[in-house]
Amino acid sequence: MGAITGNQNPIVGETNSYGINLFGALPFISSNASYEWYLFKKQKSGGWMDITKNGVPKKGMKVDYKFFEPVAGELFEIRVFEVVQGLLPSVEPSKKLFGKLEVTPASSRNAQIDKVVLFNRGKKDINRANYTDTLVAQAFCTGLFGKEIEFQLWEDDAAGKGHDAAVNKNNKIPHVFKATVNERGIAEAKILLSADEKIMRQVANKFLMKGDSDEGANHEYYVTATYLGKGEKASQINVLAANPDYQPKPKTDSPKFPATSTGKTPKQPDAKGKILDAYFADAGGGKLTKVQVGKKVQVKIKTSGMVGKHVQYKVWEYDLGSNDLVYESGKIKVVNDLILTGSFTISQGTFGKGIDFGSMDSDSGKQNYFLEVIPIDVSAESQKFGVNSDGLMEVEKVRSPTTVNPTPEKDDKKSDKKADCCIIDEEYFLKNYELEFPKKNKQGKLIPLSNSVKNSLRRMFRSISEYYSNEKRCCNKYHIAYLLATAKLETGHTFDPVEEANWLSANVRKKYFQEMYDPVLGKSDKRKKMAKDNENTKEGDGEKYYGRGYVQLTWKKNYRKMQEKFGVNLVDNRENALNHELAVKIMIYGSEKGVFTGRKLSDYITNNSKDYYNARRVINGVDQAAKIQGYAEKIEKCLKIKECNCKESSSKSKPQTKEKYNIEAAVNYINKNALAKSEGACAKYVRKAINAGGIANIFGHATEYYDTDKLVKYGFTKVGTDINSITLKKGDIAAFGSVKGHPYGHVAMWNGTQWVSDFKQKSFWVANQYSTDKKYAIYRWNN
Amino acid sequence: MKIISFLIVSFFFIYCKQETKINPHSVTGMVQENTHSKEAIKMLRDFYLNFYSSDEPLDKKKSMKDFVSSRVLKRIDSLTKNPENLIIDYDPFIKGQDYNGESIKKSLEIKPLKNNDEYRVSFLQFGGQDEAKTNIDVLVKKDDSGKFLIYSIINDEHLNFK
Repeated sequence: MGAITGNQNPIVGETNSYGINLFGALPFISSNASYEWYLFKKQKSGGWMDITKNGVPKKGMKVDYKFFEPVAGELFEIRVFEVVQGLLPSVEPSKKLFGKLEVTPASSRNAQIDKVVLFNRGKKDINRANYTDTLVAQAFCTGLFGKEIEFQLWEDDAAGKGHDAAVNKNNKIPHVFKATVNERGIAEAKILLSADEKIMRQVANKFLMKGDSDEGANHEYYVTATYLGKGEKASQINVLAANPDYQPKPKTDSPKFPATSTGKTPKQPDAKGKILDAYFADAGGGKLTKVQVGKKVQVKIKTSGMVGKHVQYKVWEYDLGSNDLVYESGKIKVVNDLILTGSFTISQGTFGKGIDFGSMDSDSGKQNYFLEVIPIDVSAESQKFGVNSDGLMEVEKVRSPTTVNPTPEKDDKKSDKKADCCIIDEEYFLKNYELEFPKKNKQGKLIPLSNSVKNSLRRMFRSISEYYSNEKRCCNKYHIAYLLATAKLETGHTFDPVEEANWLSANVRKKYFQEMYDPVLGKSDKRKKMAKDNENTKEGDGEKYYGRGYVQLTWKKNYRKMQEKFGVNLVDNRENALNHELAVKIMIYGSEKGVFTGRKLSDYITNNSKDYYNARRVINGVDQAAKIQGYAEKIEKCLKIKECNCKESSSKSKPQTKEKYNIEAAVNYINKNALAKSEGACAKYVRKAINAGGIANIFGHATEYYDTDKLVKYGFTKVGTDINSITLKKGDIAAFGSVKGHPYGHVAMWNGTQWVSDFKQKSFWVANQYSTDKKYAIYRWNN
Repeated sequence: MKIISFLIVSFFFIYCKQETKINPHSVTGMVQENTHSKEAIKMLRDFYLNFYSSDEPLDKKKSMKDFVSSRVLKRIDSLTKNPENLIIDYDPFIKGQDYNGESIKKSLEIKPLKNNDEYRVSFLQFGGQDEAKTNIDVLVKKDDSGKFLIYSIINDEHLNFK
């Protein structure tokens, strides 16, 4: 039998060559022989399984093998068969085992992403998709167990194979997908195309492949993966998503923007009443083509035969996918054929309505608006104006003394800081929310949660995380459940910030606000006094400081308090309270600090007790208390808040530097303090040994060392899960998961000669069930 | 005579009915009020503070025997006798293998349970985010010398002596 040469401990992620040992096998080599290479993997049962790719062996005197992180520490065998052709064509070739070589891939010294793939799981053609599909992005990693990988989706406009970063620089889909590397070295993120459809289509359609006149029938997507912004690797095969906007030759007379429905029945054209034109105008009536956020604009409407009738206008933010309504006027009486409406301010709140994905949205800096004019009491059709590239009014967000930035902290360097606190598992929430609050159609079929609600919830989650990250503290899960329940009720289940009594007509609303909140026009002395006590001191304040946002921020006093807290001009620009992000922060701060009624959430909800009914007193007596209680109980079930890493975000408890962990000190401690027999304190003794080595702030049941990345977070590396294939080193830690009869698991440290926990163990196993289940992992500190 | 007999029977019937009504209240009142339970609670507090409010016992002269009956200690010993097959590999007094002494110290609560001589010891073992309280239900009785000791851990399958 001959021999094989090659690295028996190849580093995962690296390509290694294996060859026939000619020197050793020369006498046996036949001139008409060829060699077939098979790969076998050792099974738990002790046998070998042929895992040769597709069953087709590699051929030749020398072949390459590359192993990936998931198989680090496992045992393989390369087997080479010599195939000798018969001297005569009629003679069958003979095949015999030529040699074999055992190989145990080792973890890479350098953490890296080895390979990235993007595909449409479960589909016949995994490289094709529709926008209703969910793509899967996988990163195969080395030495990154427990780390978070960030996936970035791109639309590929580069011609031919490969991805040209320069060509695709504008094609980034503004949504980062995160996934944690599992013990097999794989991070997997699910990319729900429907959730980002609008923005994806917008990005994809915005830029074209050189020489193309349109984006074509498909949008081509690929994904890149990074760890801490480094080591970017891209998937090689694009997934083609059918382009819903693709129309081979659109009819020139087809309406690009369907008119808003204004009546129960379709209106018939009214020969007498027509809306002829409308455009944005400045105070002098001059046409505006460009304006900055913070400025006031008016609308000029030209009609025919409509004097005495009423119209309403809507301002839309232009998107290629679907447009966003950013403002709608009240009822306007047509007094002349050419009217100039009252002004409205394009506030940050208005601007924010056109942004779908925060600062990453392409609409976050510049937007384009067009108008829709809707006749109220005539049967004329509503009309849209300025929807072509010449007619759109450009709205730009600029930092100037006249503009207000609703999130000042976002513009300073602090905002670049990653939000680590109160990170809500979005997908888990949305999935369970649909189950807890099922909506059914007439046939009894479940109606999926709309994308707009999903997006609003996602925005809220990010704002919640940002709030607590800025506060540098962890959130209380039950507080979050209650606040989301409140938002659900207050917003009519849309989770979009709302204005109080928005269902009333403008005049009725105005009167209502005057009666409720005005110090002069209030309906009773009691209401007038209440207004004054809350700093609504001037006539007209009532209709200014009415309820806005998730918890209906009311009274000038509260607007002022929130202005002082968040540094956003709310007293003058009250619409800022409708900004999604700010509205979330106002809700949390106001509720937790007792700003609204003097009562705090913690008066009713703590880690150990919760009174979701009376918690309503934080906002508004017990109004709707039972309903919100019911919502909160269900929402609580949907909430999975990732381990709070707020403290980790400060330098205090970041992973310890290598110099700060002394293996010798740790081992000395455990040797010196080990007891004669077990006292059920393995985690305490190992923890104290780790403390002696220089790592503090680590606690927990033994099973947590196995179930979570507790040790990895502090700088340990998982070296394997098969004790027989690992050459132990002093200081190695074995963590066992929970098994039957041993709910808290077990943990022990290798002192160079034996395993020590709270006692010097006689064997690796301290209970039969552990050796049966073999649910453990070995961790090592690598200097 | 029949009337007299009827009256006697009726009297006993009414008397017994009143007894059964009154008894539960008076028993509950006794448990909360009597000095024995206060002493038992004090013993439990001393025990937990001494052994679990810090990594090392506060008073090293004190041993488990001062707080735990020998039957419980013997049972624990037998459950942990075989180092290669431990029946329990956790500390039954904290239902775990590690703790944060500061957290236990701050959150320790001891309350009498419905049944006489039974108490619930509650604490936050690590003081982590969203951590639920750990509850240890124990039976505390006087030994022959009149000292209160833990006679069983009611909510531990190995140490409830049932």
